[in-house]
Amino acid sequence: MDKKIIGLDIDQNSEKSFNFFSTIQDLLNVEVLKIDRDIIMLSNNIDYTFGKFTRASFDLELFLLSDEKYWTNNKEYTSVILGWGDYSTEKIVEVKPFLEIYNKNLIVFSNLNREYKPEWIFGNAIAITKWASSLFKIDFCSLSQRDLDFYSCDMQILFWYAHRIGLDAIVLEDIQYDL
Amino acid sequence: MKNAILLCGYSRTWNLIKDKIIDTLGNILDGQTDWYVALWNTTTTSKENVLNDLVRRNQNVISIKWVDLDESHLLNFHRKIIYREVLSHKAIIGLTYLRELASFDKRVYEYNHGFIYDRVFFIRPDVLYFTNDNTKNILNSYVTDDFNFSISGDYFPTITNSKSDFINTGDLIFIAGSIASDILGFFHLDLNESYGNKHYSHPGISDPHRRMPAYMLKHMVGFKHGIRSMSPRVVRPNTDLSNLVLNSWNNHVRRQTDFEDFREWNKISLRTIEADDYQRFIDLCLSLSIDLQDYELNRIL
Repeated sequence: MDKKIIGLDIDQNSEKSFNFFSTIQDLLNVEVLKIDRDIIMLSNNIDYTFGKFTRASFDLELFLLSDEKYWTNNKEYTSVILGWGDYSTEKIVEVKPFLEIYNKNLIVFSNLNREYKPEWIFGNAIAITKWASSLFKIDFCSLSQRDLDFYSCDMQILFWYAHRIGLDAIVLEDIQYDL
Repeated sequence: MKNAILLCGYSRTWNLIKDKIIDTLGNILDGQTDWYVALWNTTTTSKENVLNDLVRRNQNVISIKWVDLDESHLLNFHRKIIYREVLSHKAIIGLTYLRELASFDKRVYEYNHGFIYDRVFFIRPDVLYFTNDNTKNILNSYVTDDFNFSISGDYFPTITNSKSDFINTGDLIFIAGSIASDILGFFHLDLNESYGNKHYSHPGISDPHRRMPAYMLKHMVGFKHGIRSMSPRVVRPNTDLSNLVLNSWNNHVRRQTDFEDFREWNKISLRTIEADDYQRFIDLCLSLSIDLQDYELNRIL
């Protein structure tokens, strides 16, 4: 294993996340570095899905700012994988090519279908920090009707927001060629 | 209206102009106004003194950080790789680091208290802000539906450097919406460009002044208003302060490089002055009890 990625456990479900990140290590042939959560004291005022992402991003940001290895020439890891819900690893192998690409704006969603509940998001550590840190603000902001139309499901607003702040957001949709 | 003021940088001439800065902001801001402070460690003033400066003027200080350079791995990385020979390295890279620290505290406070700031002001302790009769109205008109993603102030990405094709921009005053202010706070992280230093061979790529327009464009947090509402004016130890305070708005809506005291002081960064002049600047700082480290003059001695 010559690569490392940062593992970020959104729901902080120790048993499920242990299996999740172990599976990822095998499937992607990488070492997952789980960072400590809840480094800072936060209240429970905001306790919905977007708030959970924000809460995790604070810990990620502090980790990036304080970890010397991240800022040296010999960076061992640049990517982050976020897991939550049932911690399904479906489609996770499809992010393998992205491990070879250094794009600090990259963020990968597995699926945006309403029937399907994606349970991981992959991306560059800086992109994930920028994206998740302000997610809880969406409900406070005045957004235009065009923006609000994206509110049909949580994953779509998450994807829309990544695009809105200029990240290179990708969805691994099932592509069926009907020739 | 909820306002956050992020005071970041070197203390420098803060002791000379602090009351003027507080008065200016107090005159133009209505509603809740909170301060987030992140300053470099210095002997010019102290953490307790800065806190006291604000509290005695009835300002609400949420967080105050007193930072040593060694705490930033990215700063040290830049110092070793890029700015080995550049005198002002810490000033231009370091400000982004301090802004991230203050921005972080602001986001945590917003999260914990379940609200967001409508406007966030990024200011410096060594800069006076001039206003006019229309400033308040212009600032209030900023808060439109899309201001969450907007940034204003002296972010005018039209100042070109005649020696290159780069677009340059100021960084003395930013007025940002809730999400745009967070994006601006992450600018420090964004300076970690790539593996190794191969990309730094591109001239200017690490100068935040030059990278700012591309960064803002990339994240689509743009400048929406063409009217300048606040005019920043850097106050150096060689600035004639009595003359400065008396002067009107019209005398200050100019580029910093148009001011003689700015041009004179800037020679330190450009290293175009003689040893005797260095000593004059050093004596100026000492007479005003300004830490030489604030201008990195101690490296000359």
